[in-house]
Amino acid sequence: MSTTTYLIDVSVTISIIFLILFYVYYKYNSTKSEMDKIAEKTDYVDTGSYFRDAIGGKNKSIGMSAFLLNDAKSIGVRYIITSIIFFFIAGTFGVIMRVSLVEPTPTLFLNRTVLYDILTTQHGLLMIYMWALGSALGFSYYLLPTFLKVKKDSMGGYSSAAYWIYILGGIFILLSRTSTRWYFYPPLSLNLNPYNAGGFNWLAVLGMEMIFVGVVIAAIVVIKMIIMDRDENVKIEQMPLFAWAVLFTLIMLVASAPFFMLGLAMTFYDFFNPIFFVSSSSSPLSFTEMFWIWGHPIVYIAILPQFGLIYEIIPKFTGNKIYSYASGVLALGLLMPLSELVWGHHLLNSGFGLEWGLFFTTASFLVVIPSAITVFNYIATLWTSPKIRLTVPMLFVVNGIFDFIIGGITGVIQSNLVLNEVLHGTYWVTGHFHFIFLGITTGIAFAVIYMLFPSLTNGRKYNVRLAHWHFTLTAVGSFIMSMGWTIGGFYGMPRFVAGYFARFQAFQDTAILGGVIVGVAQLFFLANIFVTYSKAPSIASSNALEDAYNLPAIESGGE
Amino acid sequence: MAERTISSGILFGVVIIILMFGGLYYMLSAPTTLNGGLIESSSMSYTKTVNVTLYANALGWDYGIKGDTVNPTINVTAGTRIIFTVIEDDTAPHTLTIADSSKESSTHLTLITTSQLTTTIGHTVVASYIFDKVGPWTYWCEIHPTTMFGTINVLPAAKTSAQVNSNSQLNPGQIGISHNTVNSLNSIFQDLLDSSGALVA
Amino acid sequence: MNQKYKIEIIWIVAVLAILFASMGINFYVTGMKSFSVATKETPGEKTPGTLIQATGVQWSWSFEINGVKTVDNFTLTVNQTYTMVITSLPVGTGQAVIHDLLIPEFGIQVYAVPGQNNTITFTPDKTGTFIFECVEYCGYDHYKMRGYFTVVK
Repeated sequence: MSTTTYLIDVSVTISIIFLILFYVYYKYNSTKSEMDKIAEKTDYVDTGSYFRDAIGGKNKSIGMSAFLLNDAKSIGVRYIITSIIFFFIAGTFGVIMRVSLVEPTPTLFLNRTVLYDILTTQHGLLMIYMWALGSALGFSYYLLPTFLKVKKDSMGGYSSAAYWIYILGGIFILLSRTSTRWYFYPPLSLNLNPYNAGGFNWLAVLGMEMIFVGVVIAAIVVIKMIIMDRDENVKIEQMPLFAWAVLFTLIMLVASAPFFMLGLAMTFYDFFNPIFFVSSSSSPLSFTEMFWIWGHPIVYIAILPQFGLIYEIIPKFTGNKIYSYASGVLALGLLMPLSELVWGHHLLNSGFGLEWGLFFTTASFLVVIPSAITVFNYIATLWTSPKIRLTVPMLFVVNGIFDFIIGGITGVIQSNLVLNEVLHGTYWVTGHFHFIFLGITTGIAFAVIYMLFPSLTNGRKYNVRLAHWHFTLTAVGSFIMSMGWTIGGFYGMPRFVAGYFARFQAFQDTAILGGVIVGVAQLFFLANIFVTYSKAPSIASSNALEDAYNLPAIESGGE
Repeated sequence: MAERTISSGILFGVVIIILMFGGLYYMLSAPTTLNGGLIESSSMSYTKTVNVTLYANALGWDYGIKGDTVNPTINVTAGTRIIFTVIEDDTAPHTLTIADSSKESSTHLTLITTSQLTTTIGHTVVASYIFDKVGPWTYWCEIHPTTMFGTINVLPAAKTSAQVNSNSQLNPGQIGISHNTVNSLNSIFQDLLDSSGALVA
Repeated sequence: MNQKYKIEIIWIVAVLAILFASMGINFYVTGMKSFSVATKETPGEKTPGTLIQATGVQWSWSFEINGVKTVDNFTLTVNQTYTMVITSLPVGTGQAVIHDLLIPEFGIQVYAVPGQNNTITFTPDKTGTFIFECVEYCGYDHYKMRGYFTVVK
C-alpha cells in the first residue's frame, strides 16, 4: 500500500469515527434537553436527581445505580464505594510488605526486594489519593447537600466526569507497578535502568495527573456547592463545621495542587527529553521543592475533613453542642494558610542552611496552635457533656483524638531543626503519620461509614459485635505498630528499606505484630458487610448524621 | 427489589475480596525474576572485545550511514565483550536497551539512557556488555521500538571459527558491524595457521 | 461563663508558653558551637578540621579521608573536628540519584544531591562502632546502602 492510499484510508476512517461521535453527542444532547424539560416540569433543577427520585426512589445505597446517576448523593456513594475497595487493596499490600520484614535480610522477597518497594509505593499512593482523598470527597458529596439543604444538584455531569478521570488515574497507578515511592523524585523516577527497577513510571505519572484533574474539578464543584448552592436559611456564619472544614480543605487543595501538577508534567516531559530536572543546568532538588509544596498540604487535606466530621459526630453521642463553634472555624481556617508555609520541614537536611531551617521549624511550631485549639475543643465538648454514649463510631472518635495527640506531639518533635537531623527518614516519621492516618483519617472514615450504615445499605443494622471487634483490633494494632516504629525510629531505624540492621529486629517484629492485627481487624469490617447483607432490611434508611439537620435534637444513635 | 439489593451488597464484598487478591497477585507477579526484572550488567571475564558503532536515528539504527542498511545484525561468540559506541544522529532522545530474547522483552537492560545520551547531534556515549548467554539477543531503542531494533546473535564459543564464518556468509547483507567480528576471527585463523605451520616445521 | 473563659485562657497561655519555650530552646541549641546543619556550599581553604569527601552511588557510600578511599566503612579519631562534604554523582550520568546519609548516633543527616555539595561539620565525642545508612529511597538495592564506621582514640 502506498503512502497516499494509506493516508486516504486513515483520514476516511477518522472522519467516519468523528461522524459517529457527533451523532452520539447530538442524540445525547437532545435526549438530555428533553429530560431536563421533564425534570423542570416537576420542579427539579438537575436531571440526575429527578431520575434518582423518579426511577430508583431515594437512591443512596451501595449499588450499581450510584454509578449511573449524576446527582451529588450518588456520586458520594461512588466515591465511598471505590475508596473502600482501594483501602482493602492497599491494605493488603501494606500487610504483605510488613510481613516481608520479619528477618533483617529479605526472606520473603529474597532477591526480589523490588517487590517490597513496589508494594510500599502502591500502599502509600493508593492510601493517600484513593482512600484518604476519595473518602473525604465521598463524604463531602454525600453529606453536604443535606447539611446545607442544597436544593439543586447542578453540575452533576462535571462531577461524574471528574470521578471517572480520578478513578482511571487510580487504576493507572495500580497497573503501573511503579516503585518510585510517592515522591516521584526525578533522577530516580526517570532512570528506567537496572538501578531503579521501576515499572511503568510514566504511567504512574500520567495516573497522578489524572487524579489531580479529577480531584480539582470535584473540588471546584464542591466549593461552588458550599458557597453558591447553600440554602438561604443556612447562613455562612452558621454553616456546619464539616462544611467549613471541607471548604478550607478544598481551597488548600486547589491552591497547592498546581505546583505538583506542573512538576509532574515536567517529569513526564523529562522521560522523553530530559531538560528540566536532570540537565546540567538544573538541580533535582527543584522537583522535591515543587513536590513538597503540594506534599505537605495533602496530609492536611487528608485530616481536615475528618476534623470537621468529628465535630459532627461528637454532639450525636454526647447530647450537647460543640464547646466553641467560633474557635473551631478559626482553627480550621488557621490550618489552611499555615500548612502551606511549612513544606520545607521535609527537606531541612538538603542544604537549606540554618536560616531557612529555623523559618520552617518555627512555622511548623505555629501549626500546633490551631491543632491544639481543635483538640481542646473536642476535649472540652466531651468534658462538658452530661453523658457519653460509647457506641462504635464514638469509640473511633475517642481513639482518633487520642492517636492524634500522640501523632501531633511526635510530629512537632520531628519538625525541630535539631532533632530532625536524627529523626528525618527514619521510622519515627512513619510512626507519626500512621498514628494520625490510622487514628483520624481511617478511624473517622469508618466512624462515618458506621453512622451512615443504614443509608448505605438501604436500611440494615450493622452487627455490633463485629463492629466492636473491628474497632478494638484496629485501635490496639495501630497503636502497637506505630509505637514500634516511633521508638525504633528514635534509634535511627531507616524507613522504606527491604532489609535492616539486625539491631532493629525487635522494633520491626513489634510493628509486624501490630500490622497483622490491623489487617485482621479490617476483615471484621468485610465480614460485617456479608453478615449485614445476609439479612433483610429492618430499619428506616435514615441515618443519625443527616437526621440532625432535619430535627433539632436527635436521640437515636448509629446503632 | 429486596433480592436485588441483597446481591448488590454481597457483590460489593466479593468484589473487594477479588480485587484484594487480584491486586496482590498482579504486584507480586511483577517481572522481577532476579534483578528487579532486568538482566544483570554482566561482570564476568571475557575472551575478546568487539567494537560496535551505532548511529542513533529515529528511522533506524545506522540510518543513512551505510547505504540502505539499517539495524545491523551483530554476530559474536559467547564471552565476547561488545563495546557499544552510540552516536546521536538526529535530535531525538534514544536509549540502547538489550534483552536476551529474539524480541523486545520486559526483562531487559538499558545500557544507555536518555539522560546519558543528549540530543545534540554527534554526542557519543560508550557502554559495554559481556554477552555470555548463547542465543538471539535484541537491541533496541525504548523510545522508537518499532523502527530502531536489531539482533545480536551470540554463538557458542566452543564451535570452530569455520562455523561462525559460514554463519556470517549466510547473512551477507548484515556485515555493517560484523566485519569487526570477522577481523578478530581472521586473527584467530592466523594464529591457527601459524601454530600448524610451527607444527609442520 | 467566667469559668469557661478561665479555662480557655489557661489553654491559650499554656500552649503559647510551651511553644515559646521550645522556640527559645531551638534558637539556643542551633546557636551552640557543636550544632551543625547541612549547608549548600563547597568548603574553601579555611575548612575547620579534616575533610571527608563522601559520595553516594548506587548502592554504596564511598569516603575519602586524607586521600584514603574506603567503601561503606571509615575510621575517625575521637574529639577531632571533621568537615564532611557529601554529594552524589554528577548530574546527567545514569546513576545520579538523590541519597541521604544518616548517622543517627551523632545526629548527622545530609542529602547527597547530584551536582551539589552539602557540607556539615561535626566532632565525634565518643568511641565505638556506629551505623550509617541511606534514608532516601534510591533504587533497587537501597537497603544495602549502609555500613559501620569506627571512632578510635
